[in-house]
Amino acid sequence: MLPFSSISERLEDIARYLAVYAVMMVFFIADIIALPGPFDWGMKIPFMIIAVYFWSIYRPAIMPAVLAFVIGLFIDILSGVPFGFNAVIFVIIQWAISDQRAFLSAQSFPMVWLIFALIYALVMVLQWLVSGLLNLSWVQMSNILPDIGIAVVTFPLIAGLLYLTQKILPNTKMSLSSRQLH
Amino acid sequence: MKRRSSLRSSKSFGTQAIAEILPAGGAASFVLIALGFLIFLFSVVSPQSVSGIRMSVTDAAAPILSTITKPIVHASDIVRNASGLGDLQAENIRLQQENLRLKEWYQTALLLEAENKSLRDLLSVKVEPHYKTITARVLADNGNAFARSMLISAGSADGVKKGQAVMSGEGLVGRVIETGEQTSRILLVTDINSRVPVLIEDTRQHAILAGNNKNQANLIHLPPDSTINEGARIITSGHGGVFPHGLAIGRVKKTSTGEVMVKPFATFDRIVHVRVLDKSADPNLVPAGGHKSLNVLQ
Repeated sequence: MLPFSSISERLEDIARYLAVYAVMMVFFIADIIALPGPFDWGMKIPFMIIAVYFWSIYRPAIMPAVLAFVIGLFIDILSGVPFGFNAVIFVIIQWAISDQRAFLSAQSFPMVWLIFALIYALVMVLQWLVSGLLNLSWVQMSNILPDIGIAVVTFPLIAGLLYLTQKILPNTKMSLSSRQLH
Repeated sequence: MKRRSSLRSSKSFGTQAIAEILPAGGAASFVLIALGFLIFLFSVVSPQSVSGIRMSVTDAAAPILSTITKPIVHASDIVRNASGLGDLQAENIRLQQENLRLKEWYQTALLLEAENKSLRDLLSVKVEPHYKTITARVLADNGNAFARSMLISAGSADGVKKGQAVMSGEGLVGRVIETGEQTSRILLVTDINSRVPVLIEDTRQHAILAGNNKNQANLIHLPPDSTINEGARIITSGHGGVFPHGLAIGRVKKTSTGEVMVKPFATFDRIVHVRVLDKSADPNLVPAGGHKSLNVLQ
């Protein structure tokens, strides 16, 4: 039988992890829903891609490949795009970033930000190619620039929020230090 | 023991090569990417096969999305009202002047309506149907650079069918492309896959409105000698039978390069509610039951 302190510690850990996943749930919903009027800027902040990128560097256990796949698949289903469109991209990001996390987690925040900008631009170009092939009609390349812009500009804000949620988790070697954010 | 090790070696034989070139956990990712790619291909080749799954999941998620969007809509109203307080007086004056003009137009419209009716009776013209409408709320949108669609809170249970035209208070929004029990997906007129047969109201010139995933759509298949006036109203022509005749879409806008664009009346970023036109209420096809309206706002 476990001592009372051990049970309470375990419950506390569960609550901490639930809080992290609750934030991700909010991000997922924000990716899907229609934001009316003043909140609609004509482009969408890629909350979940930022979350996949962030957790793949600092806490890959929070965002395993299977979860990235499932989240991507649900976004595909609810946003009306072909199944697998986002799922594959999420897994590729999770895979590539997890592989390089030793390097990335040692980088300063501006460097992590810059790498995100490059990755997101690549993702948008890939989506542009796929969407062009599917529709046999090409959206002007300039159409994707505002989306890349909003993702890059809002990255520190979203990453900052994720950093705060990360702080409530038990410490590990790879977690983001406050030094990197400053 | 020996058998187990041989099993392990045979099992690892296929994946060993992959595992060597892949990072830790790479095999799982590789399998997921391959699986995702297969699902993607299947979904592209046979979209109708996955449509049922999509709408079932969407129906299940609809109550959650509906609950979440409500406070956001209220918050947006508050923000809009608060930010618009300064302009309220000027807006009030403008509306009063507009109201005076509209009263004059109203009298003209009554006269024209009476004249129209008498001429129609004289010529035995087939009456344009009054469509039943289904009002619904926008739950989700996919307003990105690659697709323009919306999810609304009315489905087959409310009488929504594939192909029906969808209007906002200002003009045509798009058409229904998928229906679930409680939700439907609308393809916006600005989506790159959208083609709407239209009529330029002042010149009676036919054309096709083609979406381009931007906020303005292109006007294509115009004869080279056609005269298009800036600001001309664009309405649906009714050709093809998908959209009824005469639905307002937008106004012609010419770019600096001379390209003919259409600025839709509907402001897609501000749409909260839409009306789905039910063509089954066509009095030429079924016994007329008057103008009915079904409200499915939750």
